[in-house]
Order: sequence, then structure tokens, then C-alpha cells
Amino acid sequence: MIATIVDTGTLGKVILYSLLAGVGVSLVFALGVSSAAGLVDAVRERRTLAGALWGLTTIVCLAGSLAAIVLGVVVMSSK
Amino acid sequence: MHSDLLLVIVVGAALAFDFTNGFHDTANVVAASISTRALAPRTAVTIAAALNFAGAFISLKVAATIGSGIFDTGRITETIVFAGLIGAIAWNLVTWFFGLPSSSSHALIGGVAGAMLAAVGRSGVKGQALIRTVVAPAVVAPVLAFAVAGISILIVYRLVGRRRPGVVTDGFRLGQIASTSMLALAHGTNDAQKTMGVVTLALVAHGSISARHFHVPTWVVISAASAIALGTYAGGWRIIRTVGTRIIKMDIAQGFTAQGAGAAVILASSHFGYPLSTTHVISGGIMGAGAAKRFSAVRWGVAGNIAAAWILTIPAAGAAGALTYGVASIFGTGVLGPILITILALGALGSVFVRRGRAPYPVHA
Repeated sequence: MIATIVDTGTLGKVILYSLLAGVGVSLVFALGVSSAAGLVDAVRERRTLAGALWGLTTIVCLAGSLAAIVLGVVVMSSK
Repeated sequence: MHSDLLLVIVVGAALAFDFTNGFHDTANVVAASISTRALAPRTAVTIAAALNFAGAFISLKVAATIGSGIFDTGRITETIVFAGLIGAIAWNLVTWFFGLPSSSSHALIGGVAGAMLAAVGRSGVKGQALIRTVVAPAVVAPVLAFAVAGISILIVYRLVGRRRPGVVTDGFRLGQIASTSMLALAHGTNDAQKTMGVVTLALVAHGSISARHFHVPTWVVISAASAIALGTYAGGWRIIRTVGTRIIKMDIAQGFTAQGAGAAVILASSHFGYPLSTTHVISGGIMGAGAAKRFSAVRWGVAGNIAAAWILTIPAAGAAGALTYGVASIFGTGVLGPILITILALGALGSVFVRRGRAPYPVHA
């Protein structure tokens, strides 16, 4: 009965992809913020290698976040 | 002549609805950013208004499909559209008055459904389509956003919990500005198109546009974009206060999570053609971000009032739409009924705004 009124297949995809996108975006951005804080600490304590690794992680996470924004605009324009 | 005047009234009502849609839904976009002080109130609504305007130009595909599937569009008249719009505007203003976030899209669908039922009976509204495209997503949206924001905030706290607050606060402030911008753009794209669709339907019913060559005229796009942007800039401060400070006392990580996860949920669901209400997603997200930190952090009484408003939206807007159609039809099928109702509505609106005035900017959490 429910399956005839609600498209359960699409609903399942919506739930799965919303979870992946929502948690994924928060995870990547928060990791970037945490890495930036780690970078600041490493620079302050003159730990060069740690600073380079934190910096690299920050850049990768920032790029991931920007990619999510671009993907969002593409989804909007293709509706 | 009468037909032209009726068209002008319907277009005016559609743009008035668009304005209330903007100022009613500003809270979804800016409340969390204002509450956490990521953005100053006037800066937040200015950014939201500009991006709502820009968003209206991104896509016109939804505008061409308004109402198709739910209503028997072949039987829709300009008077039905007018009555539906008045019903939706009335419900938007009632919920704004009580500071309750509710879906403007549901109000519009409810208003037109009520007017359609009054005009042509049950055959004018497809019940199963209404449940499939409106009711089911309304149940899914807040629960899904609650879960996504709840899981997200636990991860965020785990990642940044032991970091120095300065960099973390600045980082999430930037994240909130980005997520506010995305939400505003998505809102402009989704909601301005509904008004464009309604105006274009009225133009088709009037005979100004051929149904076989359905297109949205440029002046319709510009006027709908302007109306929603002006409404957003006016700011529905009562609802902003409810969403930003009355559901939970928000920290900047919760604000980012509710908005960021909310934007991701809205866009992911849109990708599958399963549009969820921005209002339901953001409200559910804020509750989830609060409850995951501490269940009692959510003011469940406020949440209950909001849920009650969501449940009532379609029947209440529908009743207002049906009543409007009933009153208009007393004066026949001409333009007299809509003119009298417009004068009455403007008078009632004026007296509400004069007596209550505009609420001040929201108090920060």
C-alpha cells in the first residue's frame, strides 16, 4: 500500500545520498578547520614537517569543500 | 477588458505571495548565521536577498511544471489561482505573526487545492499525487535532516573539540557564510520559479501565451526574482528569532552543521527529483544539531508548535483558498469578486502592520 503511494526506491536513494552528502560535507569541512588549527599550532611551535602535513590536509579539505559548492550549483542549474 | 483586469489582479497576488515567500523563508537561510554572529543581521539579509535574486535566473525548468500532476490543470481558472494565492498569503502571514516557520510551497499547494475543491470538487485534485509529492516528503524532510545534522555535529565535535577556539571559530564562520549563500541561491532557484509558474499559468489561461508554446517571459522572471529578493531583504524577524534562538541555543559549530548538512540534504534530494521543503530541512537540522549535543537542549515545546504549524499548513491554506473562492463566486465569474477581496485583503494587511509594526532584529543566542 505504502509502496504504491510513496516511491520507496527513490526515497531510499534520497536518504542514502543525503546522509552521504550531509555528513560528508560536514566531515570534510570540519577536518579542514581542525587541520588549519593544527597548522597554526605547528607554525607557532616551529614543527616544520607537522606544519607541512597539516597545511596539505587543509588545502585538500578546502578543495573538497569548494568542489561540493560547485557540485551544488551544477545540481541547481540542472533541475 | 474584464479579463485583462483579472489577469493584472492575479499577477499582483502572485507577486505579493512571492514577497511573503521571501520574507517568510528568510529565516531558513539566515537565522543560524545571525544567531551565531557569523553575520550581522542586515548583512545576512542583504546577501540572502542578492542571492535569492540571482538564484531565480539559474533555472526555469520547475516553473514549467507547477501544479502538473497534482491538479487537473485543464480546469484551473484565473479565479481559482487568485483564491489559492490569497489562501497561501493568509497562512504565511498567520504563521509569520506567531513566529512559526512553515513551508510557503505547501501553503501555495494547499491554497490552490482548497480553491480547486470549492470550484470543481474532488476530481480537480489528485489525492495520491498530493500525498506522493507533498505529504510524504514533508514527513521525511525533518527526520532526515535531524539525523544528518545529529550525526554530523558528533563528528564535528570529535574533530575540533580539542583545538584552540580562535581558528575553529573563524573557520566555521567562513563555512556558515558559504552555507548561507548556498541556501539563498537554492531558495531563489526553487521558490521564485513557483511564482513564475503561477504567473505563466495565468497568462496561458488569459490567452496571452499559447499552451503549446509554453515559455516563461523575461518580465515574469525579473519581477518574480525582484519580489522574492525584496521580501527576503524585508526579513521576517519574528521567524528568524524562533529559528535562530528559540529552538536551541546554538554554538557556531551547530550553526554550520545545521546549515551545511541542510544544504547538502536539499541538493541531494533535488538531484533525485524529490524536492524537500527548505523550512522542514533547516528546522529539523537545527533540532538534530541541538539534540545530539544534549537531548534536553532542544525546546521541545517550541518544536511541537512548529510541527503543529506544518501539519495545519495544507488544510488551513486550503480552507482559506476555498473561502476566498466561495466569496469571489458570490459576485459571479467576473472580476468584481477578486477586486473586492483584494481591497479587503489590503485593508486587513495595512491594519496588521500598523498595529504590530516590524519586530526588531533578533536577539543573539
